[in-house]
Amino acid sequence: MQNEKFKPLYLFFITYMTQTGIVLFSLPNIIANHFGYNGWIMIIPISVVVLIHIGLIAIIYSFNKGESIFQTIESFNSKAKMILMPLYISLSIFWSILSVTIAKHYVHVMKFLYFPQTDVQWFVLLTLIVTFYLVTRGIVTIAHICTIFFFLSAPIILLLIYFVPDFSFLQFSTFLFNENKDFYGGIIELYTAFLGFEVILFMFPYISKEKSGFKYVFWGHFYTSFVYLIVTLFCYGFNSIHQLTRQVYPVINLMKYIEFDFIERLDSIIFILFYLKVLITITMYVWISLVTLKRVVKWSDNLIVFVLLTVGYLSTLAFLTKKESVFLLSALTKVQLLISVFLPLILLIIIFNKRRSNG
Amino acid sequence: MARILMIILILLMQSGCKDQKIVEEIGFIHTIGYESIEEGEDTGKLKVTISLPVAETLKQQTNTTVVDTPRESMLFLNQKTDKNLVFGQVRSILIGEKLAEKGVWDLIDTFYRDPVLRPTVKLSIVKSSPQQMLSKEYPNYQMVDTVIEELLTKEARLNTIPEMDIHKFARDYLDDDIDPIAPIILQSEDGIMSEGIGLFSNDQLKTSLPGIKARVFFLLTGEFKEGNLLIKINKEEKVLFSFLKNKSSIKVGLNNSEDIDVNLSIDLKGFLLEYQGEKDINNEKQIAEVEGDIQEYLENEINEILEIMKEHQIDNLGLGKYIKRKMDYQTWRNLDWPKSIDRININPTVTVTIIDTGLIK
Repeated sequence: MQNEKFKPLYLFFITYMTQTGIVLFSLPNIIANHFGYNGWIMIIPISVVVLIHIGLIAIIYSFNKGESIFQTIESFNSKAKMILMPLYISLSIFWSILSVTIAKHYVHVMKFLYFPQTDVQWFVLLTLIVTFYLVTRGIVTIAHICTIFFFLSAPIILLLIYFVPDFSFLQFSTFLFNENKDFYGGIIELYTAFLGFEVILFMFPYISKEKSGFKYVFWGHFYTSFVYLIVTLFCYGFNSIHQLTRQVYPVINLMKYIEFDFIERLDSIIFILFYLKVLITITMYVWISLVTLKRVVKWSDNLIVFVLLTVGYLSTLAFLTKKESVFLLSALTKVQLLISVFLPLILLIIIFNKRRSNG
Repeated sequence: MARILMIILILLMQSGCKDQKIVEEIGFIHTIGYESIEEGEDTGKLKVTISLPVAETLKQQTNTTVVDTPRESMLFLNQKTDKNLVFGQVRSILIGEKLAEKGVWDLIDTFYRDPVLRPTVKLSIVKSSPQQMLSKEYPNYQMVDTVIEELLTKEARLNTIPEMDIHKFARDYLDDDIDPIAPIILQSEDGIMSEGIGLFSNDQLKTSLPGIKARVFFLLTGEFKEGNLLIKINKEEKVLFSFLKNKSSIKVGLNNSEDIDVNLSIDLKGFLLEYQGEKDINNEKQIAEVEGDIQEYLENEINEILEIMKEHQIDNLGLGKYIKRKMDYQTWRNLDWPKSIDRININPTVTVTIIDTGLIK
């Protein structure tokens, strides 16, 4: 077992980088479509609910005292291993498929927007090779790389300053959520945009003990909410509401508008920089499927990651078009939503049961 | 390990070689002109003209074709040139007046949809024919397409025409509280010149505001913050008023959904630089009179603009945005804006303050 640990500060970067991804580009459109006028307000309540959700994980962290959640689950009943093994296997396969689908979705969008001649399967394969190297280096290295990628991609947000002169409060109007459709579906969509924080559950043994180290996860989440909110606000102030409901990637449209004397079409550079973010998201999910599968088989890390990526790659091979991959991704993220809601709840029940029987 | 990493790095780099584009072989379209054909056997079809710079001769090349849909034109135009035509560097789109009257959204939608094009492509209406404008040889210009682009930018900065691009047009067209506008340019004897603002209802060009009215229009929207106004009070009296500050505001008073008051106010402060007429501009009393004359003149112009908008039932000023804020959603829907613009009371007020009259007494 690895004994390497990283400082809790890195949790900030891991949380933010895993949460945000390509969904940021279409988020204002999702919000405008589902919530209508002034739909950006909905980011605040959803973010608060996610905060409570992270709070549950924080409680588990404080009770677990650095123990991994697998130990917690297995300590509940020693005979449960028979049920747990297939569950672990299916979960790790699920996460590897999820990460390959995320990669595929990104490549599809890239192909559509900038490089029409890209071979999707080929590019996904290359991405997975990079992912392989990242994952097999261990979580501490991933945390460090995550930080580097954060500082490479974070300054993009400053480009919003360019839109301050074009920003108009008149576009907001005073209506609230009029012209919404499928409000509850929108809440789920928006919630899945925040997913990614649940990977923290698997990192407990790797976080070095520090007083209130978990606060960095909250800070990471606050930063994600801030980015979502400010980007959506700018899109609402720059476009009219019916324009937002028509643009598939409003943030790309926004970035396309930037023209400096020395450079234009900045959107393509920004989109490629987002590859780093997507890479971290993929790496995180492959990593959690690695640690899950490790509970079942006694192979080396390299072999496990190789098997997982191959399984993930082969099982998504049939999804060729962008429409299919979008469909698969939205189905998988909904399952992931269920997992990230129920996993902490089950863990909490186990922990409280144990405390009761002990005390 | 290091060797495998190298191989992977090389493999990754290789994927960059796939999308190859050689600059010499590409024809970067600079300007596209669209017009509808009004007579002859091709009536109702589109005439598409493109212009592209040719590096070897430092001149522009123009091509024209007749097609049914905008996208189709690429196929035909590509056959007429040795270059591989691309849309990525299109700077402006010219639309013939007749086509604009029929509606332009289909055309703009095509551009707005395309990921290759930029949303900053400039949009303008051409009186007469874009084809003639682009293909004519001008004594003073080497490349007319770049001249058009620069003219549009410069005139927009001087507030005689709006700065309109695909994004802004789509924004106003898709919104229900404002109607879009676009600049109008025309071909004169020895060049091109700007002609004012074209007012749209939905995506159809209805009418236009020439010269001084266009500038007054921008005074109302607040975009015209400082500059010169040449005011002809009557045949003998002319004033060049150079203002430094324009405070414009639009306030809506809502008594009930049937009784809406809109107060437009403009507050101008500036210098009087040129005066031709009977009055003595060193006399304070007379200056106050000149101020009154300018106010009256501007108010008249504003009323005329409002009359034009009411006549065509359009709202290019975006008054709807201010009215919308005072209403709930259902009342706004029932109002059926901008068809109801002739039901509301609009009162313009102009305040002019002359701070100084120049260096000479």
